[in-house]
Amino acid sequence: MGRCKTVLKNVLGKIVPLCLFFFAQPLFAEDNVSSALSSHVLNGHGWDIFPYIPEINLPEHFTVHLLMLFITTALIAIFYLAFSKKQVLKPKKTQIALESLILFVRDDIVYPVMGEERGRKWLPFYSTLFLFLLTANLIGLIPAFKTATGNINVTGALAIMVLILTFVVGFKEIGVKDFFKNLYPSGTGLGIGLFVAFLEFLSIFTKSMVLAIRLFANMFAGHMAILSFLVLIIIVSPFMGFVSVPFAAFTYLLEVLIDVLQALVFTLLSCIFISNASEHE
Amino acid sequence: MDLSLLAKAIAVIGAGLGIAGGGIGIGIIGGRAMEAISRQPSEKKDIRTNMILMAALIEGLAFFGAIVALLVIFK
Repeated sequence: MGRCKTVLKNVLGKIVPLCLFFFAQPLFAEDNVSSALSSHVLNGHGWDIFPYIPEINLPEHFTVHLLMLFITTALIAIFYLAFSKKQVLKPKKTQIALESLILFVRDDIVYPVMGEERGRKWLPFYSTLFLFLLTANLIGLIPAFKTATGNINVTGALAIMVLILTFVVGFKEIGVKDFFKNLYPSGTGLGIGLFVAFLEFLSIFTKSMVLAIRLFANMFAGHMAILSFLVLIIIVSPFMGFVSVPFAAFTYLLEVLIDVLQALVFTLLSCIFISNASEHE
Repeated sequence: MDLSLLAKAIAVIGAGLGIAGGGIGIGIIGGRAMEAISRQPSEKKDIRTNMILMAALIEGLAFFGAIVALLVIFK
């Protein structure tokens, strides 16, 4: 209990205020409020690391969000390659933590939806997707880093990948004919049946689109909310800080929960879409 | 009266309505899920997963409203 209290005290007293200070970084650098708001979430070539230090200019065709994606990939690769090489009988803390993430994907997402036999084949894909999204989401909360998943191009690319997989896996596992047969409802007239089949066909695309928009909007809106609270200090008065900083800290902690939840939701939904399209009715 | 300002105001109201609808939906889901868990505590895990899934689907619709409003405002 005493240890729990110390951890809580450290998080609330040191880590969150520090993170919020860095979060407010654009407010120091930009001259007006709206450009400060947009520079935190939007993509660009300048990477601002510390308040009052001039931003690092990245080369052409290489943006901050792309850099974040590379960092995400590198982090996952380093940690998982380092700990998957040696198979020991009694793993250390870090290894248990890393393995529990994979076990979570296996036991709570892939196996319940796909069944054990097919799930084993598909587990590498979904665990990679989950780890990538989780790391990319959480990295945005660390000072000086940005959220790559708060960019609709990143989430859109992931959703297009899921869309293509839906078709490819469906065609491969049950055949083109059965894939379209699944769309057609049984026991209805021809006219209404064709209409419903058309709507079902469209809904394959809509589902993927919503998948992209959901993740993008959650990340974008969450970071906007934190920064909007902090911006109130500049707009209204310095004394607003007594109100808006606690609110920003609360939103910041809520954002940690949302990051994990959205990674879970994206993986779970894509798992359901792909496995539904490739099953006989 | 400035028409674009009116459009922005209506867009904000529309986003609010959309989010209110989503809120009602998620509230119903959450309430029913709590009810189901209290009836069948052993099925807690399954119910929770399905609850999050359904809430996420509704949330997507609410975000559609918000995105359309944002497009109107920033256009």
